[in-house]
Amino acid sequence: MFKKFLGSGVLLLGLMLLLSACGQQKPANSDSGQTKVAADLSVYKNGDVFITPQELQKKLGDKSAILVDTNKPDVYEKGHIPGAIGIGWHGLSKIVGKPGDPLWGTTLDKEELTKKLESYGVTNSTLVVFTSNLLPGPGSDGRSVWQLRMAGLDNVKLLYGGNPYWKELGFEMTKEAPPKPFSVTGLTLKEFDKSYSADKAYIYANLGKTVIIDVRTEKEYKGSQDSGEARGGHIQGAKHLVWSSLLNENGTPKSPEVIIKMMADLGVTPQDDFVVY
Amino acid sequence: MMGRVNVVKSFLSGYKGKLLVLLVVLGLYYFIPVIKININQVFFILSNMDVDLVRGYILGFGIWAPIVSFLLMIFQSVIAPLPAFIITFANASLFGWVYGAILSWSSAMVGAALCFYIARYLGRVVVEKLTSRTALEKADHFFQQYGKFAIVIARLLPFVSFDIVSYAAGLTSMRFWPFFIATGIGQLPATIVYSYIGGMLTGTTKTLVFGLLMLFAVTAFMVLIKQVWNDRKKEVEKSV
Repeated sequence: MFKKFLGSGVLLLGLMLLLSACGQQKPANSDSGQTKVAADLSVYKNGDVFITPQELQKKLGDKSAILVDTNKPDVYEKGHIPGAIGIGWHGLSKIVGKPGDPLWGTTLDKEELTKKLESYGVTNSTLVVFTSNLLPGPGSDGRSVWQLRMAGLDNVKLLYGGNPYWKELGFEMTKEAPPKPFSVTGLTLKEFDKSYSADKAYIYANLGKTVIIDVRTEKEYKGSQDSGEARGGHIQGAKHLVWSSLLNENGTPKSPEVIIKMMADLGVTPQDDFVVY
Repeated sequence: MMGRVNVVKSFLSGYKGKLLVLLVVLGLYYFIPVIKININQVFFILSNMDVDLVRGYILGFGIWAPIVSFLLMIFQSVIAPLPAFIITFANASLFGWVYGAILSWSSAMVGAALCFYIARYLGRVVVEKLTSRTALEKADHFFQQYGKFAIVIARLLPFVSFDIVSYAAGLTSMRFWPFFIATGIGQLPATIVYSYIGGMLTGTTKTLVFGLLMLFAVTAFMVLIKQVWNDRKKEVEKSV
């Protein structure tokens, strides 16, 4: 039973990991990022994981860029950035079966992932940008960036501030379905680089040694099974920090100093390994 | 022997009996973890409004997939706010549109019958207390005369929750078979349309299909209005 719980949970390193890995070690004064001038991403150590709305705006309609929206289908239909392909929050995950089944919700295998991405028109040189409404969760845009980078695609980015910040800047949203994507062939993915993921054996071996952070809602941390969790509760010893607390209200990430401070409260310094789920 | 059956029957149809049945059902949910977890998961999967998730869920049961789909549809009917068309789409993409449509249609029929009987069993007396007897009798009258039409129309309208209609029909004195037959006819067009092209629908085609269904419904609605109008006139003439 314990194993099953981990199967669905632990492998999901998402937005948190990317954001918290960003910006550490290089605190700098950041503008609030809310001016019309494109935000300075260089304040984050791995700031190149983001693309600013201003920059994305220039690439819309460009064949060499693909925008993917990971909102639930009904949310996507209510409005998305023009041209964004809606893939749902599980578009790149295994969903045969139900939550709690050993591999449900984990990343697609290399072959399946290749086929899926090719059906969206992704080649090795395509810029792939992920976005969503962010705060309603579950953070699948960040997770998708993590998945694709793990598969060796470097030209994959997360829209800075997602749809909320895009709207705040006054850029267009639409209800119109984008043209069906051209599927392509010839995409080559690398064997997954697992250095940014932890499996249950790793967790078990490191219980009590590595900081584990449960980034789900407080209710879930305390045992709620409202999202279909096969088992309620959290991994023994896990601390709690809800993932959305790293974001401002408009969807942009908090400044590096603030994030470093929040992580320090959990006992994590920028040099430490830690696990999120 | 018969006497004992009758005692059980009359106990179950009394207040205490109904309360007991409800408590047993709730108790099964709360105290048997397997039931609770599975129901929560089904609810989670369905409430995502996402065909692929439902498809994956059903597929995960392998050879039992059609039976799980059947049960899913019944569950969806009883829990009114959950959408049926998601399951209809998933069935079409899993079993092909013909078998999908047959499966969706027949399971929805069982679901509708169940709703009807649940309402009839639990509700009539309670609802009569909550509203007024005359109001309910008026509703009875309407359903007896036009209920079949009303049900056919309600089923044609894509945005009317048919589960609610099934419950409502169960509360009136409408007989089961007219309700059941009207349900069967009423849900045919939508089931076939959803199964055949449902999964492929996007943007403008979707609007078109909804438009067509609306046209069906409005036409049927006009027929109903005309019928009501004629009957009124007849009554007035009679009283003159």
